[in-house]
Amino acid sequence: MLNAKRLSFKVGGKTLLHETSVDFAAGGFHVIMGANGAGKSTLLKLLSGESKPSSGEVYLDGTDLRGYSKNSLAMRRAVLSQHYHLAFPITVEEIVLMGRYPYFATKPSAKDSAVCNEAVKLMDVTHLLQRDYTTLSGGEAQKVQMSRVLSQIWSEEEVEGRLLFLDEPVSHLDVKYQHQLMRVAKDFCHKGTTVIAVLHDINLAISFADRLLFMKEGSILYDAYDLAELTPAMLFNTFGILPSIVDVPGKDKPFVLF
Amino acid sequence: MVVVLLCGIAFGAVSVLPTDMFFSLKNFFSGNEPANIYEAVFIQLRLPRVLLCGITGAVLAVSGVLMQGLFRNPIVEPGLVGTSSGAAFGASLVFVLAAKMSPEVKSYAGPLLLPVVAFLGALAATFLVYSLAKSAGRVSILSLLLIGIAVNAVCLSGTGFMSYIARDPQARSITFWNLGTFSGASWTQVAIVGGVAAIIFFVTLRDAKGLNALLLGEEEANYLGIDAEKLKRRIMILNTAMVAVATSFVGVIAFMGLIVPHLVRLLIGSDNRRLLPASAILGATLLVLADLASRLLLAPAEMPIGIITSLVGAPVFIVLLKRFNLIQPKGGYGA
Repeated sequence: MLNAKRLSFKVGGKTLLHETSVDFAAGGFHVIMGANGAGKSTLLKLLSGESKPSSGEVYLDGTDLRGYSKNSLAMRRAVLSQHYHLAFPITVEEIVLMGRYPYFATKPSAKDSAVCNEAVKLMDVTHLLQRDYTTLSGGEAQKVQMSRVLSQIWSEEEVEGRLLFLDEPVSHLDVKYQHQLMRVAKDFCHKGTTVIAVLHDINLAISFADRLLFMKEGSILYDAYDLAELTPAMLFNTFGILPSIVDVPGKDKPFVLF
Repeated sequence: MVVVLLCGIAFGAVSVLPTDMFFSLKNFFSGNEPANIYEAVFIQLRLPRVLLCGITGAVLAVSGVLMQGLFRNPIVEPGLVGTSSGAAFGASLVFVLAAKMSPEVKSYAGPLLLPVVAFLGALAATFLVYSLAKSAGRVSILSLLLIGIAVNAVCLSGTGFMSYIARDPQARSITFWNLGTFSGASWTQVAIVGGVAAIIFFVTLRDAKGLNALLLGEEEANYLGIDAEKLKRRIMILNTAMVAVATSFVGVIAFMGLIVPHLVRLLIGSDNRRLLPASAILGATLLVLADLASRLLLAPAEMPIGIITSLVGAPVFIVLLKRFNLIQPKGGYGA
């Protein structure tokens, strides 16, 4: 589905990503982890086509990302970023509608409005639609942005071939909504969407990911499909502190205690 | 808006009755000469003046929306990036040099000399600001503001020098021009400014969606399928052209581009698909009102319109700032 070939990214003489090759299979929930400055966001920006690699290529369905127009790419993939700052007041409704901008020229179709309504319902923010976005709390704002991003890649017929990038999507959310957002992303996965997420909470990652990628100093250190492979040594090498990995009775996933 | 337009047409040093307007239009369209002085005032002076004024108000307001949207900053306006002061310097050059020209050259250059030079001055100053503010291919808002202040200061001192070496009547012309006036409005001006403005309005309205997406940031606009760099370049060029054309005919009119967008945002929100047309309408209405006031307050003399827009506009702006927290503390390093 998405294949990176020998990707490098240099800025101002500093190499943020070293010749990284990595493949992402369709319908998977791929989570990228690593310490600050490990190159996670850089990799995400290259994969989503926002940054151009210094060398190497990214292929989406066998075609170089540079071969896609901005708009056709926007219909295939959506990106939820860490921070949004708006200089002017605007309604939540308009923010969510932005997700449909790739699909209409000047006037949204009935389908565009229907999709937006479904997306806000899914994220539990319908009651905020008429609110001014700039007055929302951090958590509310993040859920609204998630609704926008979902409406961008929404499709009743086939969700296959769609990509969802999440850059630390739960940083402002309380535990309940962290899990809600991840579950929504996971549901999209089950319908065929490929999710590529950067997360900081290892246990949240373990709960939802099909695959964990650990990055350090601009390279991928470990690529783990099987959670049983996970060892304290791997985490120590990635984050620089040694955790315990424990089994919790009644849970089928391991728990990491730093 | 319609009421204000009609008032703007009707009142002035010479009042025009609705019947005169009607017969004047009838005579105009049937190719006859105006039958009396009132009809002539209406068709040759009042109507083009009010139209030019409305169009200029719309241009300045829309320009404010575009620039504030582009730089995601509530205090940007056309005067800030050198457009107005560049035009003013160009105009002052013309006033001073024209006095030294022989009558033949003057008649050759014709009445378009002033607007053309002012237009070039506006373009030159604006592009100087943009190119100096650009580093690594990006225009940062902070450097734009600072370079804008510097270039404005240079243009201002140029204009000041021109007034200093000018004779009294020319110096007065420079002063008046810096305060804006519609007294010289003609149908040619209406056609030129109106034509340019109409085309550019239409084009920018198609970019309303892109400007909305830009609210989220340039990266986000890219993710939504909008080429943010191209959008920015296109809007800057169109916007500068539009403001330069309008300013070159009517002089410097302060505060319109800054205040009108904020007023409209308070009324209907920041969705550019509605903000752009609504700002055009409110800008036109307010400037026609201001022009009306400029003609009536000291009638039969006229006050320069810039005095009124600044006098009313600045306090309104301060009230807006205080009352509605247009500039919220944002944390971080700002800009």
